[in-house]
Amino acid sequence: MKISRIAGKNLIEQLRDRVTLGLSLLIGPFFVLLYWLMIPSGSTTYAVMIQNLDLGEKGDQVVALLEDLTYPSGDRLLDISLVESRERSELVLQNRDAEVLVIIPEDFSAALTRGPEQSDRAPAEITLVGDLTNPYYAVGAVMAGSVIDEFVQVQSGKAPAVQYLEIALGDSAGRSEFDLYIPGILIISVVMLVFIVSMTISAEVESGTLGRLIMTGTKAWQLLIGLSLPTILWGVGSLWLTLMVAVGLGFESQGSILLALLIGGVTSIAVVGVGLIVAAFSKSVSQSFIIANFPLIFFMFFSGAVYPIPRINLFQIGGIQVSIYDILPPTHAIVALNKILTLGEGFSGVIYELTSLVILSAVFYLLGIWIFKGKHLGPQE
Amino acid sequence: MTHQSYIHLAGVCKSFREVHAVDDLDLEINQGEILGLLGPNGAGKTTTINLIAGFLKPDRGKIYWNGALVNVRDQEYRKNIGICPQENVHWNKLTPVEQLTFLGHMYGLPKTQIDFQCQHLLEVLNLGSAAHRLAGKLSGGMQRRLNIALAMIHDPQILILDEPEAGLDPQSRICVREYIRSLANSKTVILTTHNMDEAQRMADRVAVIDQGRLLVLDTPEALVLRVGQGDVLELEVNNPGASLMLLALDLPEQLSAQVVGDMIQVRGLDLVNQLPVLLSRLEKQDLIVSEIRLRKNTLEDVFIQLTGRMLRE
Repeated sequence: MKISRIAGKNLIEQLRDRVTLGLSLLIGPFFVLLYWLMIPSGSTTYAVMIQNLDLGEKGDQVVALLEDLTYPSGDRLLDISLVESRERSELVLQNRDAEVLVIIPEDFSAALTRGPEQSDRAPAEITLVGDLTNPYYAVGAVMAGSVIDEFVQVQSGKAPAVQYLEIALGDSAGRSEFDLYIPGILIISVVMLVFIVSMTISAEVESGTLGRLIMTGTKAWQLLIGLSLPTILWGVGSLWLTLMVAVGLGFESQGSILLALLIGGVTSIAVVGVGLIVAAFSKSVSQSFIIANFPLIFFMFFSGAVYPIPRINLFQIGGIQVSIYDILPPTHAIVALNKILTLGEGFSGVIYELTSLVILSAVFYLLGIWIFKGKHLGPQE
Repeated sequence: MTHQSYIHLAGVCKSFREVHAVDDLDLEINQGEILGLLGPNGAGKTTTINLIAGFLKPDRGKIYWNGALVNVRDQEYRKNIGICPQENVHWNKLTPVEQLTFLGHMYGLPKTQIDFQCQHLLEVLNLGSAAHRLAGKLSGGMQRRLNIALAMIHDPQILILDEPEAGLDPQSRICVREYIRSLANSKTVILTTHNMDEAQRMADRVAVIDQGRLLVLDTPEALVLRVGQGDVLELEVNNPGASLMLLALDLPEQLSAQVVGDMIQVRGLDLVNQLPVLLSRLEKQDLIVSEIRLRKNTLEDVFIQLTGRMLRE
């Protein structure tokens, strides 16, 4: 009963603090909108410059093929521009206004039309220039290289010795880049709640109202569950809102939305636990805001929510590799959401991630209660 | 008034690093009395009430309640206490009615009692017009009164008020004083203050505390008598130390004088009639007096006599 009273009180307070609540709830939808504006077609188009020095007509043909390269959705994969000067193109590459410069040599057509008697002549050299530290360079270069390879094979009449057969998992072949970002953004929207929970609880500490509640004889666990329950509710709400905005902008979930919300709800329990730990070490709202940035950044960058991270495996259980980042609940949440939303997996498909998430969330939550109780809920020494 | 030792602090010590906030404090508080803890800022008043409320754990010493040793974690003991800290402690985003009702529920009170207490407190503390406004939007005086209401919602036996009149407008001050006085005999009220007037008007007994130690504990009237019946003449002079030496040479026997801050205080009976004589003697000594004040003895004089300092210092 006391838990529901505290939760109710907190809910009213948070509903009246519209700015903080609005920012916390809208950060996920905002990111979705931002990504959608950045890549309106749903996938990235890679900028490729071509310096066509070919004296024959094969160079023009290969440029036409590169221009026609599209995603399954019909959107262009490469944004081709013809350039004259290599020096100026290198400046463009340095500024990352393009990913790669492809230089087609003067003897490109001649090399393709040589007879067997000229097989001892040096091959025509296609040059790829780019900033190898630019993550888009590899994609642009591989895409352009594949098209040119295929063209050369057809033109030279040589059948390829090996063929690649690509099998897409689930509906992954039809997924746009925008679709792929959604699970990560969903988790970011939940992780952002670390601010609202730590700031809400720190406000009780800073204003002294926590002392008032302690005087009532309320138990520590009742207090903290009551104070954090609304945040779990906002976590699920934020996830749902983000998902709805994504769907509105063209995202299609392959699996159960309810299962995705369950994953978000369990993740928010872990986030609340972390929020409690942050609040335990804070004496004021502003201090908790600063401290909350650390777990936020840690969760965002080391869980794979922002970009995939290399796995550092620790040990193996029942054929499953356990990595160092698996101690972070969002890591499992990302994998589970990917499986549900992208690959269309059901409950049985995410049982390992869900179990790990439940265990880790419980651990983080109990740890948060224990640390907070020790720091703020007993008589001061 | 029933006078049995209700709360007893026996040899209580509390330090924060090198600072001895409360130093071997022995204090007995009677049931149903209004006890004023009087002392300058940093005297250890707030630490004392935080120890009584169970927010702090004593380093040494014991606290007894009704003769039984108090465990600071004892919820039954805590439920008997209502506290109004120095800083206003309430929820800014809730209305007075909402927070009084919420706190009543947290104390496990039945709804009928909550409604009754809520209505009663809003009325006696003159908060009726603000009952449904957000606490954060109320005036400082209203917020202070709301804090007293929050401390009293569960009708505790012990009410602790830390500087209850600090920063209050005259209207709110009267309201708070009347309310506290109305609790006399029915509740045990412990109030801290560095305002002698507040202590003198409201407290049944006053404990003068300085540097964490109890200097004296008695009724305000008895304490004032300790410095003697009569008046205090305050003389602002250029060099109080040197002036005192000159004045003391020629001071009538029944009067006493001492330097307090940047002035000389002369004490004695019937100083009004003795004033012309005193002034002529000062003139004879070539002492230049820039300001003269004449008043009755107060608790501040008790404090000055005990410590040689003013409460404001």
